[in-house]
Amino acid sequence: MDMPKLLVQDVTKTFHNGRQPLETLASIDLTVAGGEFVSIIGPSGCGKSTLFNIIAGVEEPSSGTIAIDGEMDASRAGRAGYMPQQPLLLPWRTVEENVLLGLDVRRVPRKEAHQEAHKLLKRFGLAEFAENYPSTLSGGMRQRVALLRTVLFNRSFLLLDEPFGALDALTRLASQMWLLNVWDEFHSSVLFITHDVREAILLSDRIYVLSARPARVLRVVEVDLPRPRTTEHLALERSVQLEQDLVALLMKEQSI
Amino acid sequence: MNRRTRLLLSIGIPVLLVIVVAGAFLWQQHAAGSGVKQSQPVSGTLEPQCTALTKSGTPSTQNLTSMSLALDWTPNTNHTGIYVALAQHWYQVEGIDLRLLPYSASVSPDVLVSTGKADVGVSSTEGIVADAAVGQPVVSIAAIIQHNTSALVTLASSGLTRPRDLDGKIYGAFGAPYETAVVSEIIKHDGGTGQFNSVTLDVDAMQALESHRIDFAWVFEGWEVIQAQREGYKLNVFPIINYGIPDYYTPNLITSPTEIQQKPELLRKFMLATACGYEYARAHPKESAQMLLDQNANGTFPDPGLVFASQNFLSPRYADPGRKWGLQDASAWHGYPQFMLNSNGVDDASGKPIHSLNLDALYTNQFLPWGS
Amino acid sequence: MKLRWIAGYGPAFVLAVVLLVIWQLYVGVGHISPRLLPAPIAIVQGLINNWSVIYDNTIQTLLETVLGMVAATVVGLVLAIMLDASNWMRRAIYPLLIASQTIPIIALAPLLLIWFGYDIGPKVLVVALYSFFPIAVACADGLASAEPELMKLLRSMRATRWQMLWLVRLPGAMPSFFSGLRIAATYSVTAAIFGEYVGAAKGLGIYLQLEANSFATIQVFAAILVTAILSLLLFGLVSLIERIALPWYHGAIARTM
Repeated sequence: MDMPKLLVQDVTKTFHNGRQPLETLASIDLTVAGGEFVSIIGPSGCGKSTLFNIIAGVEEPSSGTIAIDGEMDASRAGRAGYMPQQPLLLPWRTVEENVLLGLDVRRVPRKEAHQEAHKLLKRFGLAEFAENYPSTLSGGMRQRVALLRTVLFNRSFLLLDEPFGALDALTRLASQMWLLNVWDEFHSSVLFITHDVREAILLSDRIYVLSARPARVLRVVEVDLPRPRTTEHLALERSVQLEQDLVALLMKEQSI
Repeated sequence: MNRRTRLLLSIGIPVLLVIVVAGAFLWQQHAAGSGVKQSQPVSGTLEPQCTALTKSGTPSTQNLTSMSLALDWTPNTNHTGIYVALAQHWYQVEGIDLRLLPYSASVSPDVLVSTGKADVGVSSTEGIVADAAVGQPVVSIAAIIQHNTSALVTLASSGLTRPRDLDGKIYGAFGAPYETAVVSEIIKHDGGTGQFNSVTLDVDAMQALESHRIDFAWVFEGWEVIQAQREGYKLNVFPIINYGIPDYYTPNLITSPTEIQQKPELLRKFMLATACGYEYARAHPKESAQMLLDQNANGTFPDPGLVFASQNFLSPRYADPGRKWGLQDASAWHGYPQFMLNSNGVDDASGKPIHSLNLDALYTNQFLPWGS
Repeated sequence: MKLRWIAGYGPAFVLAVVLLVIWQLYVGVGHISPRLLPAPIAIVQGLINNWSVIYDNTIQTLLETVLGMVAATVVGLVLAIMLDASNWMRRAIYPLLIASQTIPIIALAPLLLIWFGYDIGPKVLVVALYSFFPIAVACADGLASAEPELMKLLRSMRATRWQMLWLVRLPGAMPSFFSGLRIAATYSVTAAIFGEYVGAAKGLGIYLQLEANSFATIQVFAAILVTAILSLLLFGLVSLIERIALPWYHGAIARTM
């Protein structure tokens, strides 16, 4: 087997802000293989975002190791394309300039960056908005721009934190299909956080279910559905069964 | 507009503004430099001490000793002699490059002179006494006007026709510690009780008077009273020396004791040019007033006619007939200053009233060309 | 868009005209002496009649003002960035900055004159002293208001401190910076005039003083009129530059039209 894109081993995190230490992650093990789409679901407030921050290199774990492409470098930042829950587009930059933000950080020459960004916008149907300011875009559009920004920064490994949580059902569905399209194009490895069990089933190869805080892995589920996925796959009996199992598992955690 | 144009404009507009304003400023400096008004050379007889000043042709502008003079107010007819000497280049003949420090509302010439920021300045007897009392002495080296031209005035329409009518009225003060004593003395001298209300004004007293905010004010006959006449409204004028206040010198030219010790020769030269300027102004009010106008920027005097009228009033008062300009007598230096001391009008540095001073140390005639 | 922007000031314009007409009538009907309160028309005539002299003095004041504003902008920006650099710097500098504003400059002015003399320098300094504070504080607040999530995103991209400042915080602070700049622009002309009042050879402050001492009330008002116009023009210029520099802040809506 190839070296996994991401290997998380026995990672814990305890915050020492107040008088009481707050144990957020209690031993997480997790892998994402190359080109694999992996989702994490768990009750809200369970520490999914903390795990993401640690993988993205914005925070350090209290113990355990994280290896990206087999490297256990402490300065992991930059090895993954990280997309937070809000699109966080810069209002003074046009869509195209927002997309190339990551290249600015990498000090890629502006001309080259513009070409790359433009190619990407064109490929994914946003070229006509390239010169717009984000304030003129709809919520769904902003999320797509943010996703392209993430892809342009690092297309091999994407960390997506509930990117479609705030969208209405139809926009969300369109965005999910659009994301699969992007993923398929770049053979990216994706680690995807969501609340939404159906979303996880529709998109993922594998699903990690986390417990309530302090978070640990309750169960790992392989999603054995053919690709390319469509919404019709959700109506299959094994999908429905899986959804019910997962919801039941999560309900139990939520009630604690 | 693309991003680069926007950035260029955002920086370019302020830069352009600075360049345009600085350019206009420099152009104006340049234009002003070439447009200095040339005054007519003096004519007629001069004092013997002064004739040497006019003999040489155009004086050299090289190797001049720079000297600064702090003015006590915006340029006016009290300063005419200085402007005459400037217009005639007499300071340059004496090897002096004289710079006038403009009037400052917040720093008095006394402070500038005693801190060495100015070599000489224009002040008054009151100021000099107050400086000595707080231990920051300056020395009067000439009396610019031999007699006090201060007066209390009321509007003619007010019916307040003599000082004793001022009892219980509102006085627009300028904030000096001695003025209450002086005003009270004037009223008492005329048979009043000397009780009146006083408001300290930051605004022009004449405006306050005209708008009936105050009933009477302290002004100078040589300027405000003449201006009121020119503008056609009537005042009742009570010159203070007519009502028991000892006559005194105001304004005066001052310097610091340090300056006297270190640069007596420079002071002598300065005083020669200055004294000759005032002597000329005594004899030639019209010509000297014109020099005062010429030496100052346009707009300094909104009403040039006032300058001529004021000069006509003041020229004969620069010195008494038969006497030379600038001389100071012990009697004057003991009269009014002692009156100030007696009336608790002088405080020391800690704010306590004092009642005696070595008044003879406050003035000297030694730098005047005609000696003492 | 432009027309609508101008039309937005319509009510202010009408109100100003009404007030001026009332003023003119009041002076005319009440036979107020022009030395106490000159009528608006007389003021404009006074301005025209003395234009060359007033212009001379205005250029002096304007130069002090723009140089002071440039200095204040540079100092304000640098201070804001220093305040933002670290908690330690903020705690060290901010109280001093506030304290500096509690010093009445009117009390310092005589000392400024004695320290720096009668040249243009001390006036530029007074303008800068009055103007840098709103710029520094507004800009520092703008820098501090950058979204923490955005900082996290930049850190995940391995951005350096300078990149965060240059790419995110500084552009994001620009609207606040311009607010501060507009306040400063409004103060700056008055500050220059105040600086001249302390002692100068030339300038609107000196002109005001000369005319006031000569009871030339019309000229005093003419100079005040020039001061007001200069302040408004500077304010307008700052607003114009803001519109050019921050199209996303003002023009975002305009784009869709």
